[in-house]
Formats: sequence, structure tokens, C-alpha cells
Amino acid sequence: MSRAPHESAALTGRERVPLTRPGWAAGERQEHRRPLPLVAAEAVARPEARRSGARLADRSRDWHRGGWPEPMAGLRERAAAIRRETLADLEGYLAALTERITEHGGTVHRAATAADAAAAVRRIAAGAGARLVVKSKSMVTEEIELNRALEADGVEVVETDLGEYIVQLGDERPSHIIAPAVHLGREDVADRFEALAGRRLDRDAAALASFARGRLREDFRRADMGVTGVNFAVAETGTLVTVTNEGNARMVTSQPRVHVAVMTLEKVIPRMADLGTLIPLLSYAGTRQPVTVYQSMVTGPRREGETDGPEELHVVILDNGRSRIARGKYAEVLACIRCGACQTACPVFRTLGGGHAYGATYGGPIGAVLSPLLGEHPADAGLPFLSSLCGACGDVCPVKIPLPDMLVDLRADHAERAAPAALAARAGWRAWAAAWSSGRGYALSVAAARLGSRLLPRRLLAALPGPQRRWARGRTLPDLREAGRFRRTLRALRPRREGPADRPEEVGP
Amino acid sequence: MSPAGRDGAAEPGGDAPGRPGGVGSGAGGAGDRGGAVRTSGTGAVDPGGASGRVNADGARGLSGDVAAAPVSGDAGGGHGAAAGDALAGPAAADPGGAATAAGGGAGNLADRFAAALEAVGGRVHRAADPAEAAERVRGLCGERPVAADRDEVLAGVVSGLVLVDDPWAAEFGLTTALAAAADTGTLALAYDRDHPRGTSLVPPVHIAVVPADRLVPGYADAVARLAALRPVPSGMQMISGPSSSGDIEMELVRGMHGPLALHVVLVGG
Ligand code: SF4
Repeated sequence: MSRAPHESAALTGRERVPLTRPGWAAGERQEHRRPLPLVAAEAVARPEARRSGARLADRSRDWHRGGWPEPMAGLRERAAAIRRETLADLEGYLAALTERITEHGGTVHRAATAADAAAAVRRIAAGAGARLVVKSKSMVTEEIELNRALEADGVEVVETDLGEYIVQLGDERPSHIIAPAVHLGREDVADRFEALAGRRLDRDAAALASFARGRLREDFRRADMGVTGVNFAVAETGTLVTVTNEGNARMVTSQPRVHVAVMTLEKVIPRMADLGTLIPLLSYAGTRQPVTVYQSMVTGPRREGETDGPEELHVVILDNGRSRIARGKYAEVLACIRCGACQTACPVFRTLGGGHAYGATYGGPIGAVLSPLLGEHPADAGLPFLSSLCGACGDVCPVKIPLPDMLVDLRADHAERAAPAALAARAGWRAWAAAWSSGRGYALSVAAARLGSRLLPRRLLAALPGPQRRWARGRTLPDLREAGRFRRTLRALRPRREGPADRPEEVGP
Repeated sequence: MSPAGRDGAAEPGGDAPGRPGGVGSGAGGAGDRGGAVRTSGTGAVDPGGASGRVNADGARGLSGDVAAAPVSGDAGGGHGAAAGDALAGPAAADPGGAATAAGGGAGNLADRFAAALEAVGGRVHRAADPAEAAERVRGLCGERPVAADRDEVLAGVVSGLVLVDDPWAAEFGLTTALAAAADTGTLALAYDRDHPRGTSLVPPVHIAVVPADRLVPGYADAVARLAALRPVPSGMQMISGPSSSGDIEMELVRGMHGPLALHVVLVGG
């Protein structure tokens, strides 16, 4: 920040806020990362992690009893189908969406990479002569590191979602998809706000929220440009939908002269009517609300005669590897509606005190699957190992993404890439699986084991060369001379079966 | 490292979840408006008024059973902190007998709507006719500045109010709604030259006057109403309660960037 007097009222005094976060939680993702196990160990040891982990665990316990009650279970089936229907013809729906948006006077920018998307927004800001940008919560703008890009051009960017504002003041990334400041306690928030204000404040949540409201209100009126994410983009009508409780997206899409909506390409949905399914489900999964307080639907800029709303609407549609993912075996991960439920439910995420330790844009189970696929950073390939494979993420996912299976598959992919030796091991396991899938193969392997056990000395392991030696010391080969005896005994005891015709026909239930 | 910890998995099994926070649905109702609810004063309201923008009523195609409405909830504090005296209008203490009888489908929808909206911190008032609605609105606003949409539903309501054009200068924003979903307490609005975005957003208190015959059963029905509008409006908005945030220790705070309070006056029965 070079300009001393801030364009933003909300960020005035920002330099007085002390930075307390570790490097790996910084607003800007780190290029050079320390090894994941070290960062994770550090994260777990922080007292903040214990407190926020406990809060998330309480919530998770309250929420995830009883699985999916009706009518939510029904909505979940429908939503899962709608999202997969969309993924089956992504380009078709995107073409329709683009056509509708353009028809209504909006401008669509397709961006292949994160850098392209950031560059597109920079151009729009420069064209509009923007000095102050208000932003409503969006993960994709984290992915493209938009704030840094705009700030490089001397544009001040203010996060207006309360949680995002709190983490922005402390130069942190959001730690949870829908609860960006979940890793902080009210004392931490109060410390930041007091430093900003230069005076004592009431330290309860309502008073702190009210302080932020007052600060940010001024910026909504002053800003030249508003940036939002998109929860759903309706192909049928070209309508962009944002879902909030705070109402900041309503401000951001109605007060500034220019509105820039940034979305990833899988946000498209076929029809307006699908919102009747997706929004209650997203709300339930994310916060257990019947619906969130606000759903804002934008179809083009303001029209002739209208007295408010943006004069320009730009929609930036980011790919960043997603059309490649859509063609591969992990395509279903693009069904995600970013509810954050898998994060709240994940014991590893909670123990780490949120998503910072993952080092990527997206943390938790969805991040552990998506980040390696996006290929943001080579270290992300290790993220699928930050999981206990307890399966909670798959259970709570409102669009039925098989996250646990994907985590296992990604580990296998990683192992294959990391060590060629693992390839041999994999081939071995495959051969074993093939052999034991038939009774005859099994019998043969048992016979081979009996024979081997007779021929090989039992102390063979101790004679192994090289690094295996330490593991092998004190171990002996199992005695397999009697292998298969249980089966033989059982066969001898079992009465000979009658012909199939004598058995009563089994009738299904 | 072994981050799995003791708290293990997501503990499946058990019963349905409750709502976090939320104001009890029966909130302090001095419920004596039963008579008013039974009156069917549609004549003067002219539901067709604003609905020139609604594409017939065939929009209601979807089942009304979408969106669970577990409106139990405990009595959370109603954070008046920032709302100041805006909440203290004479009628604020009288949510208007949300639970009082009124047979018939519309009556049931009105009751369900009131219960759902009050569960998320909104206030529902019942008025027998436009004249009574006007009285309720005047009672809320007094002499303080009001920004109002231009709409036939509001024609009889705005007289006697102190009207201003700039919503930033107003303490109240007065609108109607094209539909109101009973199960979720949701208002559906569409913007155009007579219905700017700022009215229901910028002033600290939003008041919506809604003819009772615009009630629909579920959220999906309200979406369907908006989806049927042609041409597609430049902006549409669903609203369920005053603005809120859970970003500080996941504690529910009512009153964030949007209005701190939401009043709905249901007109007719
Ligand atoms: S993967 Fe499923 S549970 Fe996780 S954020 Fe996405 S939709 Fe929600």
C-alpha cells in the first residue's frame, strides 16, 4: 500500500492492525512452501486451532445426526442429478448463458487461466477508471488472487463480507469456504477492530458486527466498481445468482457504476426453476437455514429509466483446468456448490483449525480433491493425505460427490507418479487380486505357499540385503506348511449337497 | 502427525437438526386480529395492480413441499443494538396475532408465513384492508423519512408519509412483493424503474405491504413466480428476514449490511 490516505473508509487505519498469523496463513499464497507435515504439526499446536476446532465440532455434532431427513433427502437427489446433467453438456450450457448475458447487455470474458482472469478484471477496472472496489465474498477471486492484482494497479479493494473483512485486516486467507474467519475468536476480532479504530470497543459479536457495518457502509456508496462471485448462473435466462445473509452482495451489485461477476465455468445451471431445489439445499447444507436471507438475481446491467444498479455488467468465466477435469475420472468434483459442509464435518480440517494449513485456495476435503486437480502448486499433490478417510465428507455432501473415493484414488495417482517402485508393487497387488478372484486361483496360490514354506528357510528374512534388513531383523516368514487346512477340514465336514433341482426356489422379497 | 483426533467422524445417527438461534415463532403475539384476518378485502387492493409484470398465475408449477421449515428454534436475543429506535414503532411490539385462527387455505398460508418469517427475525402484521395497512405503516414510520416504490399496492399506503427519493436519506424503505413463500417466510421482488434496488436494501428498516393472495406455499413456488416474468427483469431479489451474519464465532447477529429490521404487512385474508 503506497497511497497514504485510503480511498476506503473501512480500511483507514489498516496499517495499525498487528499481523499475528503464521506465514502459511498469509493473504497471498506462498510460492515456496514448507513440507506439509511440518505446517500441519504447527497448525495443530496453535491454541486457536483447539478453540475453533471445538466450535466446528459442536456444530458438526448438532447438524449431522440422522443423515438426510425428508424433504432434504429428496432435494439432495434432485440436486445431484441437476449438477450432473449440467456437467454432461458444460459447453452447451455455457454457450446459452453467454448468449443470454450478451442479449441483456452484459459482456462475457472467457479466461483460460487464473492470470487471464485477473488480467481481464484489471482491464475492466482500468477502463472504468476505478479507484475503489468493493467485493462480496467469493472463492474464485481468491483462486485468481484478484486483490493483489488490482492493488498492483493502485486500486484499493475492500472485502465487505464480515468474515472476509476480518481476515483482510489481518492479511490472512479465508479459512473456510463460507465462514472465512472461523479460525478466530471474538477477542481476535475485537483486537483488530480496536487497532483500526484506535479506541476501545464493546467486545460482543453484535457490537463488533455493528462497528464493521458502519465502516463499510460508506464504501458501498463511494466505490466505482463492485466485484462478486456467482453461486449459480442460469443458462436459460442469463441470470447470475448470489446467495448471502449479510446483504453485502446486494450493495455490491446495486451501488457502484460497474459490476464484475467472476465465476468458474461449472457454476452454470440449466433453468431458473432449479434454484427452487439448489438454494434450500445449499442453505441447509451450509448453515442449516431453510434458506439464506438473500438470493440476488442479476440479469444484465440497469435498464433504461432505472434509477439504480450498475451501468456496466461484466462476467468473467474462468476455466483454470476445469474443462480438462470435466473430461477425466474426477469430473464429479465439479458438481460442488461450495457449501462448506465437508469442511465442517472433517475431523482433520477441524483439528488443523481451518483451511490455512492446506496452503491452497481451497482447504478441507473439497480442497484436498480439487487443489491437486487444478494443479495450482506441486505440493498440493500431497493434500489427499490430509484425511482420515472417515467418510464424513461424502455423507454430508449435498450433491453426493464421492469425496472419500476420490481421496483414495488421488493417493494412488500420487503414489504412482512419486515412485516408480510403487508401480511394481501395484502390479503385484493386481496379480494377487486377479489370482484370488477365482476359487481355482486361490487353491493354486495356497498350494504354492505350502510348497514354498517347505523349501525356504524360515530365517530367510534375516539374510535379506540392504535397507530392508533393519525391518527384517527379528522377523520370520509365516509358517505356511499347513496353508489351506481349514478349507480342507470344512469340505470334509460338509454333507454332500443335493442337486439344485431339490432346493426350494428362492423368491425375492 | 495424527490429526484425526478423538472427535472422529460426523456422528451419523440420531435425530433431525434444529435451527441455530432464531427467534421463537410465537414471539409475543398479542394475537387479537382474528377478525381482521377473516375479512376478504380484495377489492381495493387490486392484486392485478403490480402483477402486470407477472406472467399469469400458471407459474406455480412446483410442489409446495420443497424447503423444510423447521421453525421451532429457541428464543434468541433480538439484537436491537444497532436498530436503534427504528424498531420501536408503536406496532413493533405487536406482531399481529400470527397464530390466530382463520380457516381456509389462504389463512393457513398466512399463519405459516408469519411463523416462518418471525422465526428468522422478521415481524408480520395483519391488516383487513388497505386502509388498515396504511394505518399500520403510518404507525411504524411516524414522521420519519420513507423511500417508497411506485406501485398500485402502495397507492393508498403512502399518503401521510414523509417521502424522500434518496434511499440513503430514508429511515424506512416501503415496497410490496410479487410473491411470498409461506414455508420459508420469503419475499420475492423484481426491480424496474418503479421498483429500484435501493428501497428494500439501503434504509435500516424495510416494510413490505403484501396482498395475502400473493402467498404461495413453498420457496420453489416463489422462484417460479419470478421465473415466469418476461422480459426477465434486470434484477430480482428473494428476502427472508432482516440481514444477519454468523461470522464471529458462528454466533447469529441480526442486522448486517442489509436492513436491520423487516416488517411485512399482509393485507386481506
Ligand atoms: S464438496 Fe460437497 S460438501 Fe464439500 S463444499 Fe462442495 S458441495 Fe459442499
